Amino acid sequence: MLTGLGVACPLGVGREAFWGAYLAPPAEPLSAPRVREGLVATPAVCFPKDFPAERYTDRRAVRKASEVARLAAAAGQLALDAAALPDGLRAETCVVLGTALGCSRYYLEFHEKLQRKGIKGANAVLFTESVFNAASAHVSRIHGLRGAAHTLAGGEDVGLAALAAGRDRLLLGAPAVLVGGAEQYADLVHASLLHEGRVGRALGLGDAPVAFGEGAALAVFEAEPRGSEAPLRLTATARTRAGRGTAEEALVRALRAVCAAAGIEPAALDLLVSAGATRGEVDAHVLALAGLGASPRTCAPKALLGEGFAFGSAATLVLGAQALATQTLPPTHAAALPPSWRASPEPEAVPLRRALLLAQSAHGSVSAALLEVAG
Amino acid sequence: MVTGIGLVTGLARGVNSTWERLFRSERAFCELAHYPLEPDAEVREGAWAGDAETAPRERAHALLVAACEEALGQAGLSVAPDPARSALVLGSSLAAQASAPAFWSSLLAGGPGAAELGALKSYDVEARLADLSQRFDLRGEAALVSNACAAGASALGLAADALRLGRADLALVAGFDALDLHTFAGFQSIQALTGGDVLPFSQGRAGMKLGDGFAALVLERGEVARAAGRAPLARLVGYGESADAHHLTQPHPEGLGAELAMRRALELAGLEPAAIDAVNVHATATPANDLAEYRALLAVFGERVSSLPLVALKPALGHTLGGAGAVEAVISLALLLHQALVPSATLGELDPEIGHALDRVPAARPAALRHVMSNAFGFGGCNASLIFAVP
Repeated sequence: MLTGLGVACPLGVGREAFWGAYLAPPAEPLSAPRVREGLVATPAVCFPKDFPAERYTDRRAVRKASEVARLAAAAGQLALDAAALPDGLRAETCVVLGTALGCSRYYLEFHEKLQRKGIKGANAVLFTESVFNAASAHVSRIHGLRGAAHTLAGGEDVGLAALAAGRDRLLLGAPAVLVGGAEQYADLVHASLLHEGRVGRALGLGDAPVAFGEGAALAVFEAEPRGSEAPLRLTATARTRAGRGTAEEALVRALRAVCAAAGIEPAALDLLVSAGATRGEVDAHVLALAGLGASPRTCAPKALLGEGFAFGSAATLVLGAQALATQTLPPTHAAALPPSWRASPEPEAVPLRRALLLAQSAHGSVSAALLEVAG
Repeated sequence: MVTGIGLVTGLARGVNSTWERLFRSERAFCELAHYPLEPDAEVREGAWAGDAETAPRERAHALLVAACEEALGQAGLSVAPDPARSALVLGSSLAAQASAPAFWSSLLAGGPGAAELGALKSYDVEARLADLSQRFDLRGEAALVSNACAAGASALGLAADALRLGRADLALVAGFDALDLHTFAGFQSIQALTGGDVLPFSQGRAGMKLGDGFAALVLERGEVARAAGRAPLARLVGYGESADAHHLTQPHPEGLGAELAMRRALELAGLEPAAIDAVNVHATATPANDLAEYRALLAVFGERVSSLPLVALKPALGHTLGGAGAVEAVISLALLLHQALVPSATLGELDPEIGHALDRVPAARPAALRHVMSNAFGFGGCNASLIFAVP
C-alpha cells in the first residue's frame, strides 16, 4: 500500500506542489545549468543553486552532504511525514534508493584535489560523501530506519528498479519500505554523457532537446494499510534484461510478466506512464502494449522533467499515483503528440484504475510496475 | 543452493589457489609502486591482482569476468541454461569507476576543451551489468547493489530473494571492487589504513590494508539444479541485513546493527546461535569496528563467543570493500567444503577492552563444520550476515 510520497525537483517540492506545477508548468524556463567556465552548457532542469534541503529535513544531517543526498533526504522526509510511519515500524523499515550517477560532483571534486595535491590532499568529506550509498545511509540515519539499506546503481530505469526491489522486501516480510530514485546535476558528468550521445538527443516531441533533470522522488509502501483513505497498491513489478536477445523482446517479456503477476490482461491497463525520453522510446512502449492488445492512455513526463535517470523513472510513480488519486490523465508537454499514444497536451478527467509505470535503460534493462486503486 | 564459485584476489586467481595460500597463512600485500606515493608515506601496500599496466577499467572488468567464468564453469555452464529465468546480481562499492584520474589529467593539462569526456563513461555503471548479461545471456532481473563493504553479501541476499520469490531459477552473483587510487587515498583521508600489520581484535590495532577482490557464485533453486544433474557445494540457508542508522563512518558503538543482521540471518535460517560452528568476521582491524563487532557477537552468541572460531581474512587478503561480502562468502563456503579453518595471517595480543578470550584461529586446523556465518559490515552503517550450510 502506498502511504507516503515525497518529491523534490525544480518543478516543485512536495507532492501537491509538484503535481500542480506539472499540470500547469510555469512559463519561464526551468533550465538553470551550473557549468564551470569553459565547459559547454547543456540544457538542464536543475535548481539554480544547491538545493535547500535544510528547509525540509534535519539541518545538521545534510549540512555537508552531497546534492544527491540532500535531495533524497528531503524527499524521504516528505514521504515519511505523509505516511506518518509509527516509530514501532521504523526498526524494520528498509530503504532502497536507485541512482545512476550517485554523488558524482563530490566524486569528481575529490579527484580534482587528488590530482592537484597528491594523496595527502585527499579530502575526507568529499570521499565519504562520494561513496555510492552515502545518500541512502543519510536517509536511514536521519529517520532511524534499521531495515536493509540498499543503493541500486543502474541506468535510466533504476528508480523503478528500486521500487520493484522494495516491493520484494514487503513480500518477504518487511512491514514498510522507503523507495525511489535520486539524481543530481553535475556539469562534467552530464557533459560526458552528452559527448557519449546518451542525452541531449532531440526528443522528437517538439523542437527542444532533452534536458538533463535532477531531483528525487521517494515513496513509503507498507504491507498493511492504515487509516481510512482508499489506498493505492503496487500490485506487481517486473524487471528484465536483453542479454543476447533484443531490447524489444525484453520489453515484451517485462510487460507479460507484470500483467501475469497482477492476474490481469494487458487490455485492462488504463494508463501508461512512460519514462521514454525520445519519441522512439515512447513509441516502443506504446507499440509493445498494442501488440499485447492494450491501448492505454499515455503520459510521457520527460518532455517536461528532462532526463533525470533514476529520478526520471521514480517520478513515473508520483505521476501515476496522482493520476489515479485524482482520476486525471497527466498531460504530455510536447507538441505534435502521435494519435497512437492517446496522450493529451492538457490534463483530462478520465476514469483510471490501473497505471503501468515503464522505464528502459540505454543498456537493455526494463523495469515495470503496476499501480492500482485498491478495492 | 550454491553450485559454482569463482575468485580472484591479491593472493591468487582461482578458489583452490587462494585457499591453499590462505591455509599456509600467506599474505597478498605488495608495494603500490605505480601510485604517486610520497617518499615518506607510511601506508604503501595493498593486495594487488593482475597487471598494473592495464587500464584500470579494463583490468577490473577482466578480473570480474574471470571470477564469473570460474563459477559458471564449476557449475558446468558457460552461459545461462534458461536465459529468461536467470538473474544477475552484482555488489560493488565503486563499480570499478576508475577513469576519473585520466579525465582530470586531461582537463588540468588542456582545459575543458581538451578534457577526455569519454573517460568519464565509467560513471555509466550499468555498462558492467549489460556486458555480463550479454556475455552469459542472463535475461532475468539484474541489479547492481552498491552499499559499500556489505555490497557483495547484499547481492547474495537479493539473488536469494529472486529465487525464493520464484522469479528466477538461477542467479549469477558477483561481488567486486578493484583497488584503485580513489579508495586508497580516500581511506587514507579517514585514517583507516595502516602501514603495519592488520591485527583483528588486537591491542594497538591501527586499521586495514586494501585489496583487489572479485568473487562470483552461482545460486540455483535446488530442484532445478538437481534435475540438471548439478551438484550443490553448499546451501545459503540464511541472510539478514540491517542499517545502523547511527553515523556515516562509525559503527554503532554497541554493534546494534551488526547484531540485528546476525539475528535476522539466524531467524531466516531457522537456527539457534548454537548451530553456528564458525564465523567469518568482518574484522577490519580498526579500533571502533572490531569492538562493535565483538559486542554484537557477544549479544548474539553469549558466553559461547569465547569458543566460537572467528576467521579473519583481511590480514591476508586486505579489505576488498564491495567485494568483501562475496569474497569472504566464497572462503566461508570453502571452509565447509574442506572442513577446516584458515588462520588469521597476523594477530597481536587480544585487546583488553574485549572482555572474553577469543578463538581467532592462530593456525590452520581441521574442524567439523555444518553451518558457517559470514559477516560484512559497511560504510554508512550497512550490515549483512550470511549463513551457509553443508549440502
